[in-house]
Formats: sequence, C-alpha cells, structure tokens
Amino acid sequence: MKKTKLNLLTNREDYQRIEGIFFFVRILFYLQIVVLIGIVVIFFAVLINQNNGIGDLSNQKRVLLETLKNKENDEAKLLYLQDKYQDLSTFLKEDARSLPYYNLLNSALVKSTESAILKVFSISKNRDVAFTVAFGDINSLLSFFRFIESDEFLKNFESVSLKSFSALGEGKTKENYELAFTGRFIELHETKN
Amino acid sequence: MKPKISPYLIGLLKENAFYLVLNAVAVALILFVLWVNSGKVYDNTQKADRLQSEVRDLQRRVDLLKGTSLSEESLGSSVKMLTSLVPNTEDYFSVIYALEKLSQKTNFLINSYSINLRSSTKNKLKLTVTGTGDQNAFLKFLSDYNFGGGRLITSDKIELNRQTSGDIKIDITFYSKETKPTTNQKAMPLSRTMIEELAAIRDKIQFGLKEGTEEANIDFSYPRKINPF
Repeated sequence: MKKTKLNLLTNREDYQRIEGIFFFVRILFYLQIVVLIGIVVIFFAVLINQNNGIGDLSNQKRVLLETLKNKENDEAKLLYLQDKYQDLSTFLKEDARSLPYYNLLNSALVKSTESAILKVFSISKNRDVAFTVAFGDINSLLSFFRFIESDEFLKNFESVSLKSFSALGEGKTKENYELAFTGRFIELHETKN
Repeated sequence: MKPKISPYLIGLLKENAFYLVLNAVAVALILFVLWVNSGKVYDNTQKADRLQSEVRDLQRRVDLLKGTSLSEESLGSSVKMLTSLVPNTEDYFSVIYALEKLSQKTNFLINSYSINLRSSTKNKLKLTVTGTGDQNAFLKFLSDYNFGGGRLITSDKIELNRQTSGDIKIDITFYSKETKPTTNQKAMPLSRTMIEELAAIRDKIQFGLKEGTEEANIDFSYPRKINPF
C-alpha cells in the first residue's frame, strides 16, 4: 500500500513542540479566567453607572412632570395663545395696511405744494398703489413736477410712473390739473395699524 | 492501515484534556457574558438617551412657563382677546356687533353689508360693507378697522376717492379658525415683539372681558403622562 501521510511526531523535537502547545493551553485558560473576570467587572461597573444615571433621569422626569401638572392650564394657554397669534399674524398679511401709506403720501405731497390735493388713492395688500393728485393752478403743478423727481418723493416707492395727465376747464381758462400715478410703495416696517 | 498515534501524545492529551475543556468553556463563557451584557448596556443606553431627551423637553417646557413674562391673569386675558379676534367657529352675531361697534367708534356709518359667499371660505368670511362718512370718519375707520370692532378685520384693497359722494363700498374679511390646546407641538418662548403687539392690540380694542365669552368654554385639559415610567 502506498503511504500518503507522514507521522511527524516520531522525533523528539516534535514532542517538545507539542508539550509547548499544551503548556500554552494551560496558560491560556488562566488568561481567559482573568479576561472573564475583567469583562464581568467592567460590565458591572458600566451597568451600575448606567442604572444610576437612569434612576437620576427618572427622578428628574417625575419632578418635572409634577411641576408641569401644577401648571398644566398655563401651558395649554401658552400654546393656544401662540397658535392664535400665529393665525392672527398670517391673516394680517392679507391686509392692505392703507393708512400708513396714505399718510406717507399725503405728507410727501404737502412738502411739494400746499395746493396739491390727493383726490384718488387706492392700495392693495401687495402695496400696489394708484393715486391721482389735483392742482388748482399751473404753478403748483410745475412745483409738483420738480418735487416728484426728487429723492424725497421717490424714496417712498419701489417704482412709480405717471399714468395720465389731464387739464380740466374750458378754453384758455384751464385751472384744474390732474396727474394720475401708479406704482408700488416700499414696505413700511412699523407697528401694524 | 490505521496511522500510528504515539502513546506519548495520547498521554499528553489525557493529561491536558481538563484544560482543553475548560478553555472551551471559558471561551463560551466570555462570549456569553459579552453577548448578554452588551445587550443590557445597549438597552440601557437607549433608555438613558430616551429619558434624557424627555427630560430635556420637559425642562424646556418648565423653563418656558417659569420664564414667560406674561402673568397668569395677563395670559388669560390675552387668550380671551385673541379668541375674540379670531374665534374658533364663525359667530355671525359677533360680526354684526363688530361692525356696529366700529361704526360707532369711527363715525363711519355702515348702512348695509352683504356676504360674498363665492369668495368666502371655511376660515374667511368676506363681506362688502357700504357706508357713509366724511374724510375724517373714513380715515378713522381705516385706522381702527383691524381690531377696533373686537374681531380681526382685513381689507386686501382700499380705495379712497374724494370725488365720491355718498356711499363708500369696502370689501372686508372676518376670520375664524379652530385652535385646540395640545402638547404635541413645541411651545416657543414668547418674543418681546409678540408681547408688545398683544399689548398694543389690547389698547386698540379696549378689551373688556365679557362674561360667557367663547374662551370661557375652551377646555384646556388634555391627556397628560403623570407616571414617568
């Protein structure tokens, strides 16, 4: 029969190597016991620490819940108030807030000429404005023309343009002039009217 | 033919069999201890994180209540005021009352009003109001209409025409929206702007706490967790 394996344990060096391995196995056992004790101690410490932490947090939670229980109505009111205020603020955005813009335009006109009259004023919630200014004499009109090109007037608008000009009256005695403008106001940051 | 096993090797195996078995048991024990305890540590970590998050949230709510600059009385009156301005359900009587009050306050006489059903929605009641008054009355109306009637009123377009004599038509909107007390949402600290605006609105409407207002019927109780576990 043909030999397929060699028995390497047949010489002395191999016996010593095997004995060394078994010696390592014995040492490994003691090492494993040390490692096991170490693992148990570490886990014990970690778990104790975690349980203490959880206990503290549970106590904190209980105290806070009791505190909140005493103020449950106040908290509900606060949340309710914030919701309602949020709704109010949202709804107010639908408003044209006309008066501050009307006053702004009126005061700007007064600065140009005493005789300018704001005849028509229309404003939307997007601050799109249309207004008509009327004058009783040509000098007031010319004075206003100079004013509308100044920064003092233009600073109030994002854009403004002359839509129409009309002279009212009969023949050469036309003494009523009207200028119609369209444009958009700059946004006023002030307390809601 | 069986391979020969040295009797010396067999002796070594018998001599160390105890340690070989113990080693295997020790490895198994280490793996078992690691498996069981790491699971416990993981569970505890999850629990501690969850508790920490809950405590942080509760602490924030407590701090918010302690830190709110509105007194209990002021909080209650602000709730009543806002509920009056934007009621939870549309109250047609309060619409009529608001228009009446506004008319008296501004001298802008409201002669008639009609509801625009087509443009009204669940939360918005749109009306066209027809009134008369001089320039000053109309400007006073423009100044006061938002809050002066005790209901929130807006107008998305205002037209003032000095040529107009007689009736002036204004499209206005009344609002209502249901708000339910809940702790699911996160309350934010009341901002200084909000407190100032509430005070300004209160001044404008000269709010009188009427008995039997809708707020008195609001149920502020909701399910709360008392047991921390």
